[in-house]
Amino acid sequence: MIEGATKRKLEKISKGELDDLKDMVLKDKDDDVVDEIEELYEDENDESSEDSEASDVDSLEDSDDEGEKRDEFEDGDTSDEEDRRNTIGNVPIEWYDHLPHIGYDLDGKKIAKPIKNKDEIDDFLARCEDPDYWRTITDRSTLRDHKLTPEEVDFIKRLTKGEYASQVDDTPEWIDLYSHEVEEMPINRAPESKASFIPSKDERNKVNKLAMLIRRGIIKTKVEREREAREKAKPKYFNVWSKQEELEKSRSQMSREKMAFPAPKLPLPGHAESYRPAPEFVFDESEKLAWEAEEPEDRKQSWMPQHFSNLRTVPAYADFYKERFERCLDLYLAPRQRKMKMNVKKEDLIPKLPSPKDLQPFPTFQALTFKGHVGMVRSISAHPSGQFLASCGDDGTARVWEIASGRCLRLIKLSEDEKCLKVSWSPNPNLCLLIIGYGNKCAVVNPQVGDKRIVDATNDLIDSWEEPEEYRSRLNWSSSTVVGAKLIIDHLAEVRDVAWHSKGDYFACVAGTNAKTTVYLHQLSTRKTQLPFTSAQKNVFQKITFHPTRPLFYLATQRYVKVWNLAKQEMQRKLEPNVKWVSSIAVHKTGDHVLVGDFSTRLAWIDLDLSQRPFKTLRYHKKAIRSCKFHNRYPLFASGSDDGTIIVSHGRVYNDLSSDPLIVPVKVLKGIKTTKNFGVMDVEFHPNHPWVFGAGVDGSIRLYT
Amino acid sequence: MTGEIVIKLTSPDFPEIEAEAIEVPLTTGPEELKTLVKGLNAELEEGVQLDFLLRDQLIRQSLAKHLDENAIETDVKLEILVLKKQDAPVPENSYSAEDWISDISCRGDQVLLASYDGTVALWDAEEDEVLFSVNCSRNVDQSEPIKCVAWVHSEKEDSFCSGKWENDRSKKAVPMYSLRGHHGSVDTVACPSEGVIVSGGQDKKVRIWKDIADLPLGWEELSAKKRAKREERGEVKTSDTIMEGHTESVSCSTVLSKEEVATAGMDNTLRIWDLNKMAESNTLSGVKAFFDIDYSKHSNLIASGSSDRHVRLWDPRTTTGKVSAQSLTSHSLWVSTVRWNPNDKNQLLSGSYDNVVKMWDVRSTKTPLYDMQKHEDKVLCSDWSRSKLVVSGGSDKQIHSYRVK
Repeated sequence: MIEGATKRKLEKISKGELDDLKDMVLKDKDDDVVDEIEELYEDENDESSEDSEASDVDSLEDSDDEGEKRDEFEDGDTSDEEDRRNTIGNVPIEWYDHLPHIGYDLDGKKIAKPIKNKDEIDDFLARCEDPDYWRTITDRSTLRDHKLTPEEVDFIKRLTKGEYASQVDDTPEWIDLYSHEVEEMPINRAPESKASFIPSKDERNKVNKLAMLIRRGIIKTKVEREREAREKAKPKYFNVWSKQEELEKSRSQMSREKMAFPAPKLPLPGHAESYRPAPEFVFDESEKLAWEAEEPEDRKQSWMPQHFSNLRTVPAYADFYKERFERCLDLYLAPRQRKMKMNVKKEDLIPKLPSPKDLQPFPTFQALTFKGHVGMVRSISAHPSGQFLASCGDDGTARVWEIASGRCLRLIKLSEDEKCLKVSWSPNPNLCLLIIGYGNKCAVVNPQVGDKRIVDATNDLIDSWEEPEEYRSRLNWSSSTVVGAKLIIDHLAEVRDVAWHSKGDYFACVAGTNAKTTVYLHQLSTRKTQLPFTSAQKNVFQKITFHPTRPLFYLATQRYVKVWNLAKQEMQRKLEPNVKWVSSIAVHKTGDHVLVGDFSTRLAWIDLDLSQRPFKTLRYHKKAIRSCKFHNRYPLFASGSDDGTIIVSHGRVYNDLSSDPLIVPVKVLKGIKTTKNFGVMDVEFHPNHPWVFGAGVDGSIRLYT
Repeated sequence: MTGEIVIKLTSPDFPEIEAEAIEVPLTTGPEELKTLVKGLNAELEEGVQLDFLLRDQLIRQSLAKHLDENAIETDVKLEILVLKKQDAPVPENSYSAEDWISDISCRGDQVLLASYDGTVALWDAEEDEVLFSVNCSRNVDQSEPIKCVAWVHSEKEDSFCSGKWENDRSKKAVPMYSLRGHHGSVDTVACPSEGVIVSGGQDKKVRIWKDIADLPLGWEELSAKKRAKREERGEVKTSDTIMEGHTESVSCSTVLSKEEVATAGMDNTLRIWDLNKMAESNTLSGVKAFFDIDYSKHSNLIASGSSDRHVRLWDPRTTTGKVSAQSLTSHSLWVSTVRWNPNDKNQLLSGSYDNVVKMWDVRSTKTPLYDMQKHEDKVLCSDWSRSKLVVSGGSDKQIHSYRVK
């Protein structure tokens, strides 16, 4: 049964391959050569066939031996051991087709071709009768029949199934070596590694990453996933009766609703549109003619009122489609975008500045007028004590005034024809000295006002000076012949500006013309004059001033302000106030801020800590700025201009470097009359009070408080 | 505001006009009130001016505005005091000086005046007669202005060069003492009691000179030459006590009592000094530099003129330095001088750089009683004597006197 079943199986499964094998054998059988050598090898063939038949009869156990023997020859696919009896090697067998032998044996003798004595009928008979016919094949190399052993059949079967060529147990019994059960004895003798005791960094990172993802909700835990699934599985209900506002709207929906622009409404029908209007609505002949004469666009109403006696007789409205179409055009061509208008108050555009009320005190009105000068007052200077004011002008005089009463205390006539350009009080409180620049000369004057001791001490200081040996001075200091003046320094050119050093011993003068100027540095105690700058520097200096505390010297050229270090004798900085023609400079009491006024209405505030360019430029004057000053006690600065006004500004400087100065213009002071394009020639602050003086071209000095 | 209010008129001068209650419209002003009083009192003399006082405030405009400004309720009966109005000061004599008048001081009808050319003169305002005139300048070339002058009870006293003259019967003044010590000009002197002089000046210090009268004069013992020198220079005395406190120059002073003197200066403070303890007892801080202060015994207030347009009233007893609520505003420029009426607690005189001298009733803060506009330049000084004489001087070199009735 088993045999029969396997045979049928074999027939079924390996029909294709087996047919090939049989075809090969049949082909060999058809060869003509077979007939020629048939007789020669008849015996051998018989024997072999008998052998094969005998072996067929043998039991399975017996055939095993034979199979093993054959295995020795055919095991392995190396060609040199393919056939022991035929030694032709691995050459095509067709080469021996025309020969009576098919090869040579080990001894070199020819192996004759077996005699083929089987014809078609024998074959047919064998097929019908021989039960092993299906496994009989012809050996190519020897041209003999070979009956496949059961092992060989099994081998072919396995190949056709795609299994292993040899019989291998591919499902061995599973031995559970590494189970979950803890063994009493270790399987491995190796000691446990150190790493097994140390928590893994890599794992920790992985866990942290997972925990982070869970925390952020990117990965959901099983509980969460289940809960979500439950939620999702629940049926959804909508409260259809809830108000529209309660429903959550998306942002775009909200904005759309906000911007919704209702369609223009159609006018309601009036009496004229009635099917039976009152007689006054119905057109008479003239109205009808006029209506028809008008262009359809110009008509007041687009239809003609008609009168029907009853509704039944009303025909279909002829213009219905036309009107519907026009309505649709109206709806979709109408502009539906709401125009957003910026609602900006003009106050918001102005930078927020504190109110001037909060910045008091500052001068607000004119309190006093000092009258006496003939012609314009060129320069004014307030005494450090705040009691006196010195002024000089085009009439060649210098005057000293008492500030509180406006009384002229002293009048010093310096020159008949030359103008006094500059007057300056000595900042030394122990001296009562004025420097007045007039013409080519500079006069040192003791006006003899104030404390008697100081006046006497000043006189003593000047009178007691004796010329030392090896006295050299660049300029000639001479005792004055002018009444009131003590010393005269003769500069070689017109004196343009005078500035005191804060200690009151040195003072500097600029003398020269518009083409060339020279800066002289005078020392009062030794009566020496120096030229601190070499003549190689061909600058035309407009104004000069000293730094209040450090040995620095500010020189204003036409466009720039140079900061000269007197100790190192070198230029330290060059300020670029971005003006056209510097008219005046003022240094803040800290020395870190410089005001530069120019002849083209600009006033530049330069913060030396920030840059050499202006921190702020004020353009409030209408004409050239003549003078600008800082107040020494209050956070104020003022500028006087040719337009006859003095603008007082609040300029607060903060101690910390992080905050910028606060600059607020607070008051425009008027009152000085302008003549010939001149207005305010000089401004000066009272040293102790928030009062400002303005020197006018009309010969008056005005005090604003 | 329209409507009517109920008023009650009372008057110490005219007891017959007192009525229980009168209903008047709110638009009633002083003129209408006067008509009302005339209707009530037929005996009112022709030309008599009346003032109406409502809760210590003079009515100068319609009742509606007055009530609104002073926040007085209208639903109660208002008591209005009817007073005879102060008569206008009558101009009397004028004196023309050589230079600006810096200070004047009255004693009776005698006016002591100091001038910027260094002269001190005594002028009898009643007689219009100069009793004497002395030039105190040491330097012939340059005049030394005298900034302040004050009577020393029996004598007169003058400062800047810190001198003191004895008033001679023979219409001639002789310097008695020269008080030296101030650095810079002396801007104010005051005499709280016999022999004590308080002075202040540009050196920011208040100096007290005591026992002036105790100095041995010894005129008889001196030789004629020395006497002449003394006459010229005066007895030299240095200051006894220096009181420091002011941070700027001291510009004005006034006597509160024999023990107390107030000074004020350009440092915006008013300081009260106790002369017994020789220490500062109180400081009142203002906002503007002071030019003049004056104290009234009757009202116990200090009036001040400063570098703005207001006359301010101060209570020296307050320790907080708080300004009294009242400030009299009518001047247009700095107020250079203030003087109380020595006989009345409500009347005040103020002179300003706007050339006007104003007479005030402190119960009317907006409107002065009278303006005296004879000056042609800044008014620098004024005084109000016990003999009801009002004198003012200024930078137009004129002194004008008025008689107040």
